[in-house]
Amino acid sequence: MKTRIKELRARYDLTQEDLAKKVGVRRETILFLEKGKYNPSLKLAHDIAKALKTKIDELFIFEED
Amino acid sequence: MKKEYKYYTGIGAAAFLVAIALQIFWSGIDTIWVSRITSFLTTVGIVFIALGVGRHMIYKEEPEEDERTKKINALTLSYSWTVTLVLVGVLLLLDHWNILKMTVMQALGLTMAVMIAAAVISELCLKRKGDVK
Repeated sequence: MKTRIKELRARYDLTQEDLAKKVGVRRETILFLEKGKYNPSLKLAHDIAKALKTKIDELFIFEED
Repeated sequence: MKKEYKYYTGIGAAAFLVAIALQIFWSGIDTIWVSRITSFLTTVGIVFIALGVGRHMIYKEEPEEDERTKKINALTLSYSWTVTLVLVGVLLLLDHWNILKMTVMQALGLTMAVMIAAAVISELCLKRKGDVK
């Protein structure tokens, strides 16, 4: 899974800490999300998409095997 | 500082102040109970202040846990429980075969130490991972 979190975060000039605070998670969770190493819950994905003013399917890109 | 940490620090400081006050105003009375209460309050004060200030230094304004850390903590407890169960089984067999005889206190102490160590080690390892299944 790839994410566009880093790209969109940069667009809105948000640090990992800012985004983490907005969605109520720890900064490391955002870090692992950006690296594609953590699969978030639907709620967290929704909250991040909302914070970055985008849609979930535009934020997370699933690659077919 | 988060409200919760302020409460911890406040309670700790209050306990500490009461202990100091007891020491000053009751210093003439040489009772064992005053000494015990003062020691108890001083310990409580130090523990609470350490919890409040320590947690503030570690977490600052960040949440202490989120969905990722909750998953890790659940798995940590499960690993720790499994390791402890295996240890208790091994101790039981060793005792049954007369290989190792331990007192109840020794067995309980060892079990607690292994349980805590297993939890700490697995938490450290799992926190390095992004996700746990």
